[in-house]
Amino acid sequence: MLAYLVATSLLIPANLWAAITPHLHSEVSMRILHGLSTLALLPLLWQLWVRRKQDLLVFSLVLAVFLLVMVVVNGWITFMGMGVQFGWLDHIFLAIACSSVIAYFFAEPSLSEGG
Amino acid sequence: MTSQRHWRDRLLGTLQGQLQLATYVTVFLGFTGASCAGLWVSERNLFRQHSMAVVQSAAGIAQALERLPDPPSRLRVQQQLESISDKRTIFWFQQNDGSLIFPRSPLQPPSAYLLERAQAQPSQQVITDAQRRYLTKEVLRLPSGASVWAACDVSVSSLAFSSYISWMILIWSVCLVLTLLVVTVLVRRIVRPLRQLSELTETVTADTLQNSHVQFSAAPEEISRLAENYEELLQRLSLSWSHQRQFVSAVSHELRTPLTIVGGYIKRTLRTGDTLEASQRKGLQTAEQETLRMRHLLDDLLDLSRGDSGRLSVSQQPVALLPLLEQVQELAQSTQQRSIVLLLPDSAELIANADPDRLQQVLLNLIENACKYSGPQAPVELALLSSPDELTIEVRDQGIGVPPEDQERIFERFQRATNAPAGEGSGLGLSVVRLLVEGMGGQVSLRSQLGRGSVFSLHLRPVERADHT
Repeated sequence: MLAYLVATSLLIPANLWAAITPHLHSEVSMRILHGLSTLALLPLLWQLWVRRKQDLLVFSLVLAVFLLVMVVVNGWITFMGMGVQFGWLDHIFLAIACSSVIAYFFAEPSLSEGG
Repeated sequence: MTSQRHWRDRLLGTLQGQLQLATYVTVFLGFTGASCAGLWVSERNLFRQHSMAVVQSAAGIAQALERLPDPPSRLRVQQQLESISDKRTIFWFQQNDGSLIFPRSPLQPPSAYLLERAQAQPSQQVITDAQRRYLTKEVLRLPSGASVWAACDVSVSSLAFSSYISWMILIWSVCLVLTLLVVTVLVRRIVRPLRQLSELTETVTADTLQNSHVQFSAAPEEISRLAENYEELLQRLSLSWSHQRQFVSAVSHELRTPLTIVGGYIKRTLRTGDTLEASQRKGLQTAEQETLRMRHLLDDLLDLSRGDSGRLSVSQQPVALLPLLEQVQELAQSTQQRSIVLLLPDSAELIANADPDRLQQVLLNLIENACKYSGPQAPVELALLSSPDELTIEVRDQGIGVPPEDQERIFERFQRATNAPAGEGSGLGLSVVRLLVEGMGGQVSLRSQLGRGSVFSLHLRPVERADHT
């Protein structure tokens, strides 16, 4: 779990760097970054699904919808590629999504009770 | 996600974990912020530099182009464009009707793809075409409506910048790992004295209080001060414990004599008081029972006090268990209405290493305990089990039992089972049992089921016949 969170945390600066320098990374490296970031979001989506009947339903629903959109969009980009016109915006959202993964697993108190 | 409790507790529930997390977050945020700011400024400066260069070049031909008739001569425009174009930057002219004029040299005209992408966005943008990167921009707009565009090849600069980013990421990662390693080592060193203090605290008991000391050779000032305070606390506790033992010993001893006298007078009055009314006799009998109970309590306190001060006298000698158990059963039966059942093996003679008086005291204590927490008619069994390695005396009852969570602490002082009725005991009897049995070189254990009864076992060392003789 810790390894997963550390790896996810490293994707935050990576996406920020990619957002700042949209013209300087290659197509392959861009796809790898989108793919890894998409994979990092899946455990949180699964966790939200498992705990769908628990408290904070609205918060979980909003987060789940956001993550689902990110996974679909970035899964598409990973396989199909994209231009750089709005690439920086997507990387910003990916950084936010990765931050939400870390924040959720650290801040969700009931998880520490074995949930 | 079954390991979540584990990792969260390990990280957030320990001082070491919290320090490591705080360091990671600090280093992470610091490096991320610094690297993002550095990249943003570097990229901005890089493209601004190229952009300003092409704008300045275009400004040099602005007046000449404005003086040209409308529509301008293609040759004159090409001459102007050639004067500012070079191998890295190409300028082209877009007329009002959309037709384009390119310089004849030194570069080939931009590709159709580059032109299409460039003209889609007049402001500055970077376009990749044929493995090269171009900064394109509309650099000049004439009053006639015509405009001058530029495409500057920034591939070399981009490559250098990419290399810079790669190195930055590598250095960032190495620094992050090194920082975490160093912090982990440092934090372990910092919390080591605290761990030692914790381990020492776990081992301190009433018996080891006097000999427990906290000493750290090389610890930070805060930890050293904590250790000093802890050492002083141990000394104060030791002194206080010593005073308490002396007090209990003295009080028990002083109370024992008058209590014996009171008991004697009550007994004599009961024996010789022929004129006593039934209610008076009953009152005196109650007083005698209470005196006896208090006497037992004082004896227990005295034994514990002597055990603490090392003055408890418990001998270890060969004791024939069969006659002793028969005697104990008779004694116990004389004071109990219920049946005290004696279960003995067929062996002719079983001899244990023990103190006969103390063993009798222990067994009577356990039987009394068993009767206290059993139903009025429930029998109590006194059994002797023999094995080559040890002799086991069991006192079995069918009483309320001891809850599993209390079984470990039931032999400690003032510890009573949570299901024991209030006012039934002092919590000292079983601690005296353990003290005396361990003094004989034996051990005492308990098996119990809640609501079904308990079995207290005394494990004694057998004496071989050759040893005995």
